[in-house]
Amino acid sequence: MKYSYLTSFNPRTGQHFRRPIVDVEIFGPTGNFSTIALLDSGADNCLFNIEYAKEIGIDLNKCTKTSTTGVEGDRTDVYLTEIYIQVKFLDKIKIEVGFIDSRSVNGLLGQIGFFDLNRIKFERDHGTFEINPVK
Amino acid sequence: MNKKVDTISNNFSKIVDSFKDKWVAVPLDYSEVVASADTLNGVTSKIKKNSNLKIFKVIPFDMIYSPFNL
Repeated sequence: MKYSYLTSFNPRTGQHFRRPIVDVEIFGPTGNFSTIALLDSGADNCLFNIEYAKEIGIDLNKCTKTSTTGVEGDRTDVYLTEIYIQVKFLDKIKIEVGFIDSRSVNGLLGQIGFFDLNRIKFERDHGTFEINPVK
Repeated sequence: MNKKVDTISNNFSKIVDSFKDKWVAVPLDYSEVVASADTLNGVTSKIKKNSNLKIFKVIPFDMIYSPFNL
């Protein structure tokens, strides 16, 4: 399935940022949310902001607690668990995601759980990218 | 890139510019911000359930996405 890059323009600096962002629904024991997520080939895991966990009924005490280090070197707790997600136009899949309390994370789809289940082709020069599930 | 995509990107840009670090609820084409708040719970309390909106935290323009090592 082919998707278009989402471009944001910063009028203050004149810079354009083109990013592979998809619509995604995340499902938990008590609720679900339609949101967006960035395809991030540099992220090992799929990560979502911790506020989603609270709203969809994830018990953080039952998650596997680990931590992560970003480019700034700060370590931040991550709570890993399995949930269902569904990217627009694709099937619903159960994957491991981490919930993180970070200003810089809304949703990231990373290598483990997403890139390993899908063949992803970036065509930035055409403003498009493709996601095709690996059979 | 077709006109529809440009419109969506323009709409998205306005949201990123005006709602930095906020949580927002928007329709699929980002054409308006139906609700905004400092927390996800704050947004959900302002909208009807099953309202066909997507909700997300607005990440600033200059945010650097980074590799994560767990």
